[in-house]
Amino acid sequence: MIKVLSKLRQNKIFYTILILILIMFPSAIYKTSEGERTAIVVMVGLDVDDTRPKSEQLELSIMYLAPQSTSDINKSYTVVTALGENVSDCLSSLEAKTGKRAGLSHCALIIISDTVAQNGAMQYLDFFTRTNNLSTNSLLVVSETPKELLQAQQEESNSLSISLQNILDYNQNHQFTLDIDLESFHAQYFDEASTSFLPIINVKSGDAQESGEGGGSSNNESGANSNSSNANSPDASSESTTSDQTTSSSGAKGPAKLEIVNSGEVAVMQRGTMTHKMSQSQVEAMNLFSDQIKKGSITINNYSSHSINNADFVVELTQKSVSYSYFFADSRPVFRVSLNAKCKLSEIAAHYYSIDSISIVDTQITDSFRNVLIDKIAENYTNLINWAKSNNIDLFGLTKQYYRLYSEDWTNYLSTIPDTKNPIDDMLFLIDVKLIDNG
Amino acid sequence: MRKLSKKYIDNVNIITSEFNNREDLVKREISVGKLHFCVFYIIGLCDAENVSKLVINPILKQTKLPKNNLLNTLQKEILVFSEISTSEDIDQLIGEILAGKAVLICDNCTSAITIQADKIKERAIAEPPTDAVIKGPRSGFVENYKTNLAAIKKIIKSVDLKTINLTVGRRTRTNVSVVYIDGIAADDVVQSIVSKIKGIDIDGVIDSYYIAQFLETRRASIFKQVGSTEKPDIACAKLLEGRVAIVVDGSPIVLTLPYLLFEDMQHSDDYYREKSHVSYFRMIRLISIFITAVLPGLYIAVELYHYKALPLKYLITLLNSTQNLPLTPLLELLFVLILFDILYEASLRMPRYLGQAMSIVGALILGDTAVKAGIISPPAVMIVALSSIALYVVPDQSAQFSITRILFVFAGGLLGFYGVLLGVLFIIFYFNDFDAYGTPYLAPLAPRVDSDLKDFLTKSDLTKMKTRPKSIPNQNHRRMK
Amino acid sequence: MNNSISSKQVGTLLFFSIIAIKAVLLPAIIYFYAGTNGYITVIGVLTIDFSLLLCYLAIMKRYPNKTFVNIMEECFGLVISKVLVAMILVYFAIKTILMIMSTYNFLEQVLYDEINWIYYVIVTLAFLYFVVSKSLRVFGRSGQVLFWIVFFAITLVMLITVTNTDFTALLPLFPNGAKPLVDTGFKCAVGFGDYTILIFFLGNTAYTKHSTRHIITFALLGITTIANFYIVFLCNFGYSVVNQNLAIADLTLYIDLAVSVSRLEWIAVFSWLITMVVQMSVYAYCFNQSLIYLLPQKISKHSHLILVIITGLTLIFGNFTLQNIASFVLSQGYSIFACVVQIGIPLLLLLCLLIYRIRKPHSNPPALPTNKQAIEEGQK
Repeated sequence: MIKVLSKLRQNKIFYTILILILIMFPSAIYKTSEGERTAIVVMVGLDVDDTRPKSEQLELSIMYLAPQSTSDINKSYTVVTALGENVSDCLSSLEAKTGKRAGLSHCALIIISDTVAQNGAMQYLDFFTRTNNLSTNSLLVVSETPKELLQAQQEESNSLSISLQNILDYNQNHQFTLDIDLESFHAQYFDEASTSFLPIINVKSGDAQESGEGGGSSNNESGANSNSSNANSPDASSESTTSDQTTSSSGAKGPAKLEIVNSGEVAVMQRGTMTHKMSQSQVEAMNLFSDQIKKGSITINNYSSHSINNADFVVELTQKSVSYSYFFADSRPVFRVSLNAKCKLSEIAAHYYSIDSISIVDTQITDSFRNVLIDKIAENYTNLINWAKSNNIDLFGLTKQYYRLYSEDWTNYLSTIPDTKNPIDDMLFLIDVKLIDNG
Repeated sequence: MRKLSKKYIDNVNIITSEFNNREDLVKREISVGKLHFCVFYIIGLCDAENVSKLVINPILKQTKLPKNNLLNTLQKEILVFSEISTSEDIDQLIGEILAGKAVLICDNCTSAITIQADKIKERAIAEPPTDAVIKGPRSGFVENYKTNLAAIKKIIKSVDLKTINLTVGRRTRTNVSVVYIDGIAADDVVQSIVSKIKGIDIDGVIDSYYIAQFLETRRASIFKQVGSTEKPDIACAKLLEGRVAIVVDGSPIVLTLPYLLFEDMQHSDDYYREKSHVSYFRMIRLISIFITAVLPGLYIAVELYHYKALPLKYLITLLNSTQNLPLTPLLELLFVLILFDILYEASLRMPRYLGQAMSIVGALILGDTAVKAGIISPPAVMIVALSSIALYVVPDQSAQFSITRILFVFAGGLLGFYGVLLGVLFIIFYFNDFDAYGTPYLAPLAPRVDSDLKDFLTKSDLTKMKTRPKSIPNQNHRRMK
Repeated sequence: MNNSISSKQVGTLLFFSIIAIKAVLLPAIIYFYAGTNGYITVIGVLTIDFSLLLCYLAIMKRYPNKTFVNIMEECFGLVISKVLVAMILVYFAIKTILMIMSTYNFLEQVLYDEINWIYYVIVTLAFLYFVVSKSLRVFGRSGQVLFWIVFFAITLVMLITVTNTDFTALLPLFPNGAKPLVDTGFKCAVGFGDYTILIFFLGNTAYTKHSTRHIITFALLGITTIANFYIVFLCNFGYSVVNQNLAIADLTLYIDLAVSVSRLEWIAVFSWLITMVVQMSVYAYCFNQSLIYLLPQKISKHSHLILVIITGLTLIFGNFTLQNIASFVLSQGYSIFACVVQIGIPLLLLLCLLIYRIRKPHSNPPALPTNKQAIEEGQK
């Protein structure tokens, strides 16, 4: 015994490592890869149907990774749906259905339906803000039918298909939408007066596919599948569609292909609830006054220059820089947008063109045309602000900024206005535009 | 000490009996007048032809030899060999015979003459296989310690280059020389090394590694504690920095002390190439050490516990390729590691004419067939292959890191990233407690020695390296004005 | 065993001490109690702590060869010295356990889907067992090796995050007055007192002419890093900051670069994990040193084994969760105890300085060795 102890003492490190390995090896040796036991969720769709019973009102669809021995990434995804009372409920039934634990660490996108957005998105997103599982900062998107959007994304089989990822990347660079990721959305929820703007992306059914072209799945097929799967899960019904079940018989037209459509619209979320939708033209106008977007364009309709009459002039604004000024004048908050940009005439849409109208000498932006542009920009700004005032939408996050920068003055101002819930109504909005010819 | 007697016959009998009638011992007795002589040597170790020509023949040609002052006369007037000495110690004479010298016992003399007639065939000086250079000296050490000492003396032509000659091994009587530069090497380090070597009581020393094990301060450690080199230019560079070299007869590896972990990352031709190129490659070596030791552990940790760590595209590829394998990830990785080590060992041992064929078989089996059969996965093979290749970027440390990487695989497999991290931190703490011969193991990184950092990961211009490394104890810091 | 470390090594260990726990659990708690001006609390308390650092430096400079125990025994006697060391032992024992549990919480929530608690405790205690028996020199050198890795990783993450930060979130200043900030500082005393580890560095630091400058530089670096972290953290998360119980892991979520490069936050995660493990080791070392002083000589040889047994039994059978530990350390009782140790001990050391001056009014301070001598001394 003493010999053993003295041996242990001399080679402490070796024996300690040996003992540790002996203790833990039996459990680790049979451990399989985490990825095999986990359904790696890449996208989540949330929809609510108030007509269904309470225990089935929420419809949660997930697109998860189903590894196959193939190098084709597109064949690796599967879309599964479950109904339940809340997100945890739905996830549990999905886990029972797939036989894997739901892993949200790679979840890049959460799609909420219009109904969810109108009911108040936070009650459904609360799970995702609390879970430790979600380590990526997921983007939020509004869609009429989240499940179909997931199916459309899953069906994207070649580089010519419209990809949701490309649309999201495009929106991040070309759309003013703010706080579209989960954490920002969550943070803004507690900032009472602030507003989030989420992009709206929809789906439409395209033409039915010919056989052999590789089809998409249709609701008919998924309905047939759901009948057989319902028997397995009495608590919650679930449907699943996979790309493997989509081959159509030869000689007949396949099911209609779903196509992703970026309408350019934006959902206005106030206190986690969708109160309005901004149309594409309003979004384009807002893009112009956003400090995040570096480009824009202005269309002057029915304008006549000395070389062309009654044409639509499209001017591209590049190297756009927008800055905001916040100050008080006579105890009244004043917000000024300063827009500097280079402008370039990019298109003239007319019935008749003269040779002068395409001459580089004659199509410079003149001072008078520049003034017209500035007036048009100011007009767009005024329309946008009036719309925001009438709908009580804080487009620029002004209440938050004024509270931070001039908390005392702002508090005094709030005490003077009749409607404290609409503080921007009495504010003064100014715009200052400088356009330089691109040459 | 047993001394020779004046009686010739007694001396001859003592020596003969010591050798116990060994058949390879030659006892050649000659007489000149009434004076008797006997030459002892061992066949194969001694140059018999030269002994006959230059010792026996000149003596036999004499008609008369003085009885008094015989040894002096023989040494100065008769024997033609340039290296001769005398000794009266019987044990020393026996040792000289065993070392390949010829011993001449003379009548009426209490001393015998030792003749340096050893002729041992040795390998030609060649470039060492583990230390090839593109530019720079290519000569390497050989098994003969005298040749090795000569190679060092050829480069450092200074009277301060000192050699302490020792004999180690009761039966092998191996010559061990401790070489240092007086005035640069720290005296206490030299004395410490010499006393440790003198304290070795062993049967035999076959290679310098035998001595190295006695010089280590932590015997149970798997990490290298004694430096080594096969090239004279490197040995001399280390001597000039204040280190001590230990040359062992019979081994082409010269040991150097004190040892720093990072000295193995400094390759010999770093000093013969452009410095920015060298700096880049030193970073590569450091990264290689990390890849070797830690990458398999990280891979298994990611697979078992941390799939979240991987970006989605890599995760898809990994999961697709590890589908439906019969072995669990930890077993699979251990299996591939052992397979690679088998391949390594087999390639070292197999006959050369089989080597190429077996390499192809090994590569096909591992790289292609096993993967296609679904026994192992491509990522595992790739990780282990990368780790194995990186292992030989710093070949002197391949032994310790090949074991360390297995420990990291266990650490990663049993406890994931946290296990790997604890392993790395443990090794850092362990190394920082690893001082020997007044030198911190991780110097100049810890403790940070700013002046030594010029030749650490990045290499400065030689003109800026005016002082010797302060990490190594030395007496004279300045080496350049 | 050579226990001497250089002032730069002390500085690196102080840097780890300052940043370790503050970026994990504390931000959510501070912002919950102090509101959006929580960063002012942090900066304020760090400033107070910094002044306490000067007390330690004063005694180190004046009496570089005297350990804390020597000073206490000489000034107040053996009994009071033992009482003080017992308090310090309890203090560091709680901190060690808190660090172990915080690290487990961190791993459980960020790195692992599930991690076996028993295995974690066994492996961590095995690591601590080997590490606490090492000399201070080993800690110092390890700190030097790891410092640059951690510092550059954290700085990189912060710099990238800063590009996308709206600093107006720091405003307005003092919307509810200063009282909530002061109360929060007191309540969260557990997260501060970073210089208390210097108790065991007294008498073991190779103090030179430049040591004060070195230590203060590293301390300021740590303060700047953590203050910057709190500011950037608030600016990115806004009101939902109170939900972020693992701040450092979430900080890089906002930046586009993180999304495109992917998993950039893991650099921050790893660097902070290194900090936490090193700090856990330092606390355990301090715990061990206190044990060595208090235990009889025969038993004190096995102090690291005793430490591991006590800690292991407490963790495994104590049925603690991070929540109940956190509520304990945030309680008023513990806050008072922590303040006594964190503030009282440096002030006591100042008092000792005065006592020494009274006893020997005309003695000159010992000549401080040069840097070179100190390095050589440290290397031996």
